[in-house]
Amino acid sequence: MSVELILEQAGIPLLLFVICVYYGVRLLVLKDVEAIRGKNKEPLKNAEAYAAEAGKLLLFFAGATLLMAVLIFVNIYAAVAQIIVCTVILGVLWKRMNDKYGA
Amino acid sequence: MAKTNQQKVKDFLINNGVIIVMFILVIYTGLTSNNFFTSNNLMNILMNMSSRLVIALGIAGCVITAGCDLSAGRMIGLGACISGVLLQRIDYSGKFFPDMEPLNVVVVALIAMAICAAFGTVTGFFIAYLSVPPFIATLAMMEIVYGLGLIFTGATPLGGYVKEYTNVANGKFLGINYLIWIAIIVAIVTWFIFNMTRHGKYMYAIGGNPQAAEVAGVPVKTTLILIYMKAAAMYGLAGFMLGAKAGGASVQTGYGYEMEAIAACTIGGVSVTGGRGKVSSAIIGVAVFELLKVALQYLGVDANAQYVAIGIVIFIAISLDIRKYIAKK
Repeated sequence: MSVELILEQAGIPLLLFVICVYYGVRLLVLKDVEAIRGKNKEPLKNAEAYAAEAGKLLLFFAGATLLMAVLIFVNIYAAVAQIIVCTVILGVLWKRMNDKYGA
Repeated sequence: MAKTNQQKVKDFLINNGVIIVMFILVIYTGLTSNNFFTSNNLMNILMNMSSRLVIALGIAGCVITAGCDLSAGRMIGLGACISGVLLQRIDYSGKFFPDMEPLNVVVVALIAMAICAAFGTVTGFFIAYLSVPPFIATLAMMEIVYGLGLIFTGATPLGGYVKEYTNVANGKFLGINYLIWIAIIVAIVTWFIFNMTRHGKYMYAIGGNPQAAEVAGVPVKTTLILIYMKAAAMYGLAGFMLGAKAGGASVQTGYGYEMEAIAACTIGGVSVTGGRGKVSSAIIGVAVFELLKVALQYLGVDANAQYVAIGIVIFIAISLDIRKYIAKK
């Protein structure tokens, strides 16, 4: 399997993995919620807890994208099913987190 | 405190710096190259602009609400593939649906738009009801659409289109290409939606201050879903147009177009901080961006260096946009 083929097939999930890790770490380490919420948004109930939870969720999604990048070469149906399930989980957990610590 | 004329001129130059520099570059390219200011080249630029304008107009709605849509490129690819499989010649050896007669071109465009709009609705739902930030929701949708595109096409490039489909790119009406007409119609419809409908007013209100908009009775959630749905429908249409122009498609069609569209909107004056932006902003942005690319080609700039130049333009445009926002505050 050549690098070109890996990048061609799994380039997008790998790119997204890097983006998710970047924002996840940024949230966990720097507690920079503005990075994902934008500036001048309604203040959060608990910004630190929000940053920590959001960071973990992004790392969870980063893991999901990495798994998709691998599964693409094994079974594309499994890869898509996996990312759909993980996206739904991300959405539900995000909603919970937002209700608890968000604006 | 009232601004002096000197300050006004200075602000104008800074705020429109990118456009002014691009304009000078275009003039310079025109004067130094023989074929730049020709009707053929102009038509070529307009053709290239057409699909990009449709994408930019879709993204502009999202950007006005201080959002973004990173799934645009993948949706374009999906739209192009859906259009492709439904419009292959019956005698084409690699036909995707071997026994299926090609459908009507307009029907196929509507099908591509409707399918993409369905994905856009899901994205909008995640943003509006689950409070997922737009960039994360659209990132997730980007992957889902990419995966579905791979399953759908089996990662195989499509080709062998019927003449009616390729004629969408080659045919002309009143001397102007059909693709350009489609872009003009989409621009008019978008202008109408932005300026003449309640939905348009809601959109700007959400972009300006979502909390105030909600308090004022704006249906924020429904409006957000509609914005992402409408944008996705436009990506579907852009995919249809790109497929016609290229005479083929794959899931990679439209790769990176979302970034170009966001950049074009910003250059034109659609604010990434939300609440500001017009249809004319998207048109100016796309035109400037396309002219820059063509001018760099004419000037013989290396293809890789062109990416660097475009990146610098995006960086400056966004920095100036943020400067405008800070100055306004």
